[in-house]
Amino acid sequence: MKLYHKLRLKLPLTIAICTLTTGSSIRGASAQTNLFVQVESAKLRVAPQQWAKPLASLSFGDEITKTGDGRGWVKGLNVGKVEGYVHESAVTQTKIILKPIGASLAELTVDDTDVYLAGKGFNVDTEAALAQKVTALNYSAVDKMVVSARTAGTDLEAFVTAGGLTR
Amino acid sequence: MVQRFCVCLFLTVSLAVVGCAPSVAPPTVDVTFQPMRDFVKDESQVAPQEENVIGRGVTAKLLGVYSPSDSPVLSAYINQVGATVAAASLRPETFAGYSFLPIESDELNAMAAPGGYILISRGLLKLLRDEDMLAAVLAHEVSHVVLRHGLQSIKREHLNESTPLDDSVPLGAALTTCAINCNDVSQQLLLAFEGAINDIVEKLTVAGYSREQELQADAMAAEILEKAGYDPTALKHVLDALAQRTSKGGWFSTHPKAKDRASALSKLRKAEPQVNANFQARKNRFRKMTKSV
Repeated sequence: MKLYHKLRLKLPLTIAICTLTTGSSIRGASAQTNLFVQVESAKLRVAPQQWAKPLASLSFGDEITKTGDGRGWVKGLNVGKVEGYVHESAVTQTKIILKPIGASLAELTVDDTDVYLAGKGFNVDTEAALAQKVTALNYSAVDKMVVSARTAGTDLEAFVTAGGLTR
Repeated sequence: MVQRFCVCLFLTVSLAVVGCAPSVAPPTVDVTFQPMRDFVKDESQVAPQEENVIGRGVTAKLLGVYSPSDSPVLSAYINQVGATVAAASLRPETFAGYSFLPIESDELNAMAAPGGYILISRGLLKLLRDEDMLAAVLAHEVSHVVLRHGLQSIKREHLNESTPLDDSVPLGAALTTCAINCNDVSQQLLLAFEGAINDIVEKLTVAGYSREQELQADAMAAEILEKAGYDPTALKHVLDALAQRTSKGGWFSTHPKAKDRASALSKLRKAEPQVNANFQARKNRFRKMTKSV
């Protein structure tokens, strides 16, 4: 059903197909497609590679206009008109709506299954409620684990180079 | 002229309606329960944000049992190797990124929670001889995250209990007053959340993934290793080392026999891999960083 909705929404775009540039690793977008960042943070990079220089930071819910894709990467423009590459696992075609501050999710509704309301379902409130109910859950260790991972990842490029690994 | 304009306007609006809006007005979706419906249809539709909340819950439960290692050097090194293999996977971006943690346990074990929370035991670290073997274990766990195997182990009855899948059941009736002082959490949603976490923890620590899932993760791990520049046969070396050990628990109780997995991996790869010139440099830093193990 969701796929059907998606196809129906994409129909006008499909009709408006423009020129496809073939022969390069990144194809030009067939039509203007808006994508949304579905991870907490990501980078728009100068080339379609994980270690390529970052051009701009992207945050959860940010919108980018797709201008090309290929080999697992999306080429796109952010709202500041900076063009770069982001891995396709960081973006979605589903529109992301951030929960307004102070709003109750139970009171919010959407009329389109292709819209994702951030924070619906299992969320930080569910987590907090469970932590209160089950005291054996060690969330502070999880938070430390995340901080430690982010600190270790700051100089990853040098680590990869020193190990003779693929950049 | 006005008539032509009106016809054009009518056609434009009609096309827009046909193309962009459902022909029948859709029912209002209860956003609180929508994602669990998606769950039942297809685990891959779980939004990364929710997957992350589930993964954090699973990891919090595991870390309630297993103590994290107290070596920041070891932890940083494992995170660097893990981030390198995660970057070479089909899913380098998860909601909060991948996190790796050594745990104080003599079991030969590694576990991956949804969203990219990966634990590796001191016992398994002791068995490894070089960085490529460590990368192989972490690539196997990253593959479980990429393939969303953890989410697949959530039992449907938990969701059916709390989620009115039949449209004749009013969604609103399923919502109960918050049992806990939290406006957006219903008791049923909380039970479903707890059930989902317990299902995954049980799968990781007791039941284990299916043979098919393990072999999928092994095959994907070999691809990740090759792409990252590690020895793609390193996982086979890990499995060979495991096969020589007699132990209970961890990878022994929750995985297919190491010997069978090694044999399946050998069938995937016929040619001998090129040994990377920096293999010795990686081996040296592995020795240095894992001194505390």
